Amino acid sequence: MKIRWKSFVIALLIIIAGGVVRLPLEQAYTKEMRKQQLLETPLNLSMRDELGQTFFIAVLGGFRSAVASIMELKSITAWQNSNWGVVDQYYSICTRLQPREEHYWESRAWHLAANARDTYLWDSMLSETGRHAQGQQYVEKGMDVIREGLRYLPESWKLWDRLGWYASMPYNEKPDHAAAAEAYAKAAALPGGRRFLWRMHVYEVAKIPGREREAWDKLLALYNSGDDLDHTISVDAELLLLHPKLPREPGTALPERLERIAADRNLSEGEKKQSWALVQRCGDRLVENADFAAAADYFANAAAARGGRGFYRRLHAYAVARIPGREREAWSKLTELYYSPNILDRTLTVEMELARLYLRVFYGQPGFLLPPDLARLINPDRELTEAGKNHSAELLRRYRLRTGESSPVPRPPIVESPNLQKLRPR
Amino acid sequence: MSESAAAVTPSAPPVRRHRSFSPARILTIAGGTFTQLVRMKVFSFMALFAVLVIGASFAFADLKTEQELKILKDLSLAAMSLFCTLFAIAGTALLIPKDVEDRTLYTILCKPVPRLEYLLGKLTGVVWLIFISLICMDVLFCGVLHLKEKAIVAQQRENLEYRTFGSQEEHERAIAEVTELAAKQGLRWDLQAAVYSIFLKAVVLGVVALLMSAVASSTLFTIMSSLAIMVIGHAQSMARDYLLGEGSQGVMSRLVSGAVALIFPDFKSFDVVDAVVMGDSVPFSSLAQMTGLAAVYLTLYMLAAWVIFADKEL
Repeated sequence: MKIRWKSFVIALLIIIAGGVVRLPLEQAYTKEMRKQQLLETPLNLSMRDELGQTFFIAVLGGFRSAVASIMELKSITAWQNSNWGVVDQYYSICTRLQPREEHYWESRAWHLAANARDTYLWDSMLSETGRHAQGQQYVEKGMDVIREGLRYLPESWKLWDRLGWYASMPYNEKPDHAAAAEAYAKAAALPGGRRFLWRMHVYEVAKIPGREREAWDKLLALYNSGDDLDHTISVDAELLLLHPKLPREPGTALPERLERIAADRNLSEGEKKQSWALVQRCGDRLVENADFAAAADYFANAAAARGGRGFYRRLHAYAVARIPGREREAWSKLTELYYSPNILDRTLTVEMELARLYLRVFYGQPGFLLPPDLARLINPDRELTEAGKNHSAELLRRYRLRTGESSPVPRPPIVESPNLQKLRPR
Repeated sequence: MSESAAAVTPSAPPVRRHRSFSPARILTIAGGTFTQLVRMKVFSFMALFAVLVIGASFAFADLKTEQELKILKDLSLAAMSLFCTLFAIAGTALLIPKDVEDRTLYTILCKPVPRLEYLLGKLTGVVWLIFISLICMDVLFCGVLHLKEKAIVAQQRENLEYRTFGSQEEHERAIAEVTELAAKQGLRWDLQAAVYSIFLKAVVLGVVALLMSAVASSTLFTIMSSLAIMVIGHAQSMARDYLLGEGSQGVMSRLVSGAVALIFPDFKSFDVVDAVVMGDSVPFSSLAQMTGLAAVYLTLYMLAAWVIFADKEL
């Protein structure tokens, strides 16, 4: 079979002439489809090195979404090995291949701001300062990822929600409540944004110094909404905590129900139960913010107003034990609880705090001796019964949790560094 | 005598005038081509596809709902696209050389069958094959996706039973949320737009392979060059952007990008699969434009193939 060059040239001319005609049509069509976000923008050629030849050709061949999925699957092994650099590398490919896929941004940020952060915070090869510095660095990296994702998906309430959470979460050592409040407000305003996001916005505003009145008005609006989904126990707690900070002016009076709960008077049985939960929520909220002095005062007032219930007395003593400079006061309160005739007062936390104060503050000082039973429990040379061993182990676990970090959030025990695992001969 | 003879002599059958273009002839050739391809046992690929889709539906059960469903859709649509690409290229590339080898080509062309009809018939046969195989894959894919979605929703609802809700309304809202999340990534009509775009892309690829088959006599060359055109065609939009953009500089680079933009089809125009997998809807007008673009490519490359094949010494 032979072809004639003349017909070949004619065919080529037909294709080129057709090309000249179709070029503007194709360009207009592509522009329109990209505007509707139905077609992705062309791939950056610099991705060739990262993807490798095969995947790059696959992406050029129209398998962009499938390659992104494969990259995500490949990241799982790196995740299991806590190899966060590689995890981030795979996810960065996913986000560049499909920047409008929400869950790639969400997962990438989660790996950095939560998983990588935790790994570095418990890396035994790093110093205490190094652990916190590395952990915080990854939290900020995670937030940067979300911000980058929001450039492509500004209408994603999920990403705004994540930004709000990472900016203000207890694991973030440099929380930015103003940024979090703004992010939650945007998330709540977007289509599909859940109702709780507005409450989160209001809670964050309540934490910003100088915006107390704004927070008060927003909290009151939630309180008066008449819907249980808006009027939550946290709204009550925030109102109670915010009230003393406000100047006495019109519109700043506590709602009548909260006024009665705060003063512990004329309460029905149901309201009494609510008030216990509410007091605990208020104190917990202060502890969350590491405002232990305020929490101690709060629990002391609550204990006094409610006839000195042991529960609030204990919470008060725990809070005092966390305040630098008030160790002697804490010691006496904790000792009182330890020797209290009420068996409920001698909790594991009371024992742990006593042991901690003794070992870390008062060891060797005259007048400070641990109760003999407690001294036996923390002495490794003493023989213990099976129950005693269990008690001692739990005490030790709580002691480590308490002394191993500055934040009150419980953490897993320290793990071996992933770097050390890599160095181990196979 | 002559009058009576004329009365008894049966009249001669009316001479059917030969039409220069006959759809019936094209359909006959297409039917033959389709049968020829089916006899090559091409449909056994369905077993492979079924294993892949069913396997993918079980393989990633530990992932999040949206990840699990996205991966199932990604792998299934990628497999559909791959199989259709292979049918379009290999199926078309095999036909003309095989007809020459079997001498079928000469048997057909010695009859008053225009060469354009022969080419159109061959292409139609391949398009039927792509269409039917795509329908089979689509049915299987949709079935598995539907079952997977139902299984996920059932599992999530079961998990919700262990949670305590403040009210029945809250419980129902949680169920609706779970169902909505699965439905967003599950079986939707929009997925058919992705399947349709795969079909159009395969048809354009088929006509390109037909053109290459008309130019060359070697099957291997046709397959390789068609694959190369497919890859270049996916980058055609980049060349076009460069050519029409303000930043393009240099005569040589403009010439190269111009040649790529003018000669090769833009396969990227059919890549709406990614958007559909992410949950976007493709409007009917966009599908109509896509179909129009495919028709333009089809006409253009078929015309070129005809010009070459019509003048070819067989």
